[in-house]
Amino acid sequence: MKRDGYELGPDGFSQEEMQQLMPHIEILTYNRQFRELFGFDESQIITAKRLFTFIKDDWKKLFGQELVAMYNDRSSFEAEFEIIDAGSQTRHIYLSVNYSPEDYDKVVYGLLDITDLRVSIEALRDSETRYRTMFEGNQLGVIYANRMTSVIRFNPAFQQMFGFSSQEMNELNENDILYPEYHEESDRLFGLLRQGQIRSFQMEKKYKRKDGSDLFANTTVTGLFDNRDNYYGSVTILEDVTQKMANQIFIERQNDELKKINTELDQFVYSAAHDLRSPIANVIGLMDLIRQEKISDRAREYLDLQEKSLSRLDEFISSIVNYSKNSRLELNLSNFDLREMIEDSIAQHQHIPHAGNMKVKVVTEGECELKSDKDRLNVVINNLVSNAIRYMDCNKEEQKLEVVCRPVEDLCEVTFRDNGVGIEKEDLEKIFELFYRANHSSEGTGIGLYLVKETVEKLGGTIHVDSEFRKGTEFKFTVKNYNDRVTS
Amino acid sequence: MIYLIDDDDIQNTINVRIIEIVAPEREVRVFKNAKRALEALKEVRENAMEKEPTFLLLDLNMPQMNGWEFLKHFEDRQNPWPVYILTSSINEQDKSRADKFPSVAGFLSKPLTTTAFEQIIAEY
Repeated sequence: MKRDGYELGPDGFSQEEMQQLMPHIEILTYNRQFRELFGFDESQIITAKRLFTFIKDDWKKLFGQELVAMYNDRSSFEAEFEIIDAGSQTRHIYLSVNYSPEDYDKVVYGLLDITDLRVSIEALRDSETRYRTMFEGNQLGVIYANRMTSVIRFNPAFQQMFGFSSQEMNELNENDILYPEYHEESDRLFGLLRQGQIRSFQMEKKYKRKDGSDLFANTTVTGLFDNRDNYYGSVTILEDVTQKMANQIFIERQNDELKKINTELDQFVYSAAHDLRSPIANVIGLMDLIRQEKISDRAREYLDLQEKSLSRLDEFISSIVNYSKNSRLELNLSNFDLREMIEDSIAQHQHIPHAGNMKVKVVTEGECELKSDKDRLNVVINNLVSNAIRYMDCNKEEQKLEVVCRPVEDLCEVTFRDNGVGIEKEDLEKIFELFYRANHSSEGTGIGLYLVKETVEKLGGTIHVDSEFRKGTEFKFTVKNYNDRVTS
Repeated sequence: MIYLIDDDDIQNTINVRIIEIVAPEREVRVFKNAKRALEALKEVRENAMEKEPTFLLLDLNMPQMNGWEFLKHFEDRQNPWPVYILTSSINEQDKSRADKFPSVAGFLSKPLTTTAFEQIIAEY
């Protein structure tokens, strides 16, 4: 570069002044690395003025000062500054400017890209700060120990956990505060670490604090190894889980108690249902015997009415028991054939008056082998079958019920479609409510459909009803198929 | 000979009467206590003079020895006769539990009806 004498003003050069200075510097030659650093291609003419625009604004003034000082004093200088390269990235540059020994009119600019170095230094500083924050301000106790596992450094959290003074800490060995039953295992693991057989280990330990109270901690011990892989100490991180353990024990105890209450309640429901049903069974049985005797038609009629009332009571008890079971017990999964279950249920309901008149069609579209809770699904199917029969429309020429089952993804969809008496619009949205009875003359308990809905939901599905008064009703429900090998 | 094992007098009255109506030629022995029934079965096995039961009707819920305990002793002693469980339990688990006993031939819900009994008697 050609040199020219320039006076440096008291505040160095302004940016504008530098812009004026630059055209006087003529670039004579440069190497490939230089070109690539700034992202020029071979055809481009590189001027000093152009180069100056790459320098980050904050650095321009300083750079100008150095440059002018050098020209005036015929000295050399070194500087670190930042440029914005062709790809708009900030790059750290180390610059060394020297007069050429052969020709004092020429100046040699040596540039070194030190961006990576800078980034590394920053990262190092960051990691040191992070480390310090972790060590000093952490909730976790941290201890550094030497080869012989005596404590050499500990953080404030550790000291707080145990309540020892710094003086006491310095004389402490881990086994002094660890419950004896943990010594053997702890020593064994430390031994493996020392021999380099393991690099770290985790262990749940029980310690005694200075005040004598217990401290449960999850510890993670990491070995420290030098360049030659020789063990020289360890870092232990302790998480105080005393409160967690206490909570866990409390929850477990409570859980056991709940289980016991649940079993007792189950037992209670079971025997209450049995004791309620026994006398009903007796009376129904006796009524059956009375029918075998010579009795008047009127007495026979009364017996029928009596049996109807008792059956209603009997159904009520079953519903209550099923409701209690559904809400409390876990799902009991097994594989079964849905079609078979529906057909069995229909067969079981043939004792209801006029049931035989109903034309029933069961259609299965695809695989109907199902994995679900059999007892619960039985409750759903039985209720829907019994409703379809009970609310048949005897004024119609034919009484029909169609049941369609089909797999839909991981569910099984079942549709009950009848041409029965139907449900009025205002009742439709309430029929799944507890103790709601749409048909006021009916013998229903107001539990059946509520139970159906609750049970379907417990089985991972949904239920919808669609009905037209006097035309018929359609119930469509889904249940989850827990059988994962089913492909629909 | 049909064995009825049930602690409930009314049930026994009903069941005896139903047997009388459906199969008047059959003899009936009523046990209000399951232990007595076991003792009677022991007699039958040891004494050829005693009449063998054709089948047993067994209640589940009974004091002292319930139906399950009876079944266990009954099978331990290798009694060869079929047992019908007759209960007012509506617990589905009872049915599946009963199915695990090889000697159980059927599970009936109380009250016993003439129709249900006709079906059983048709097999013997």
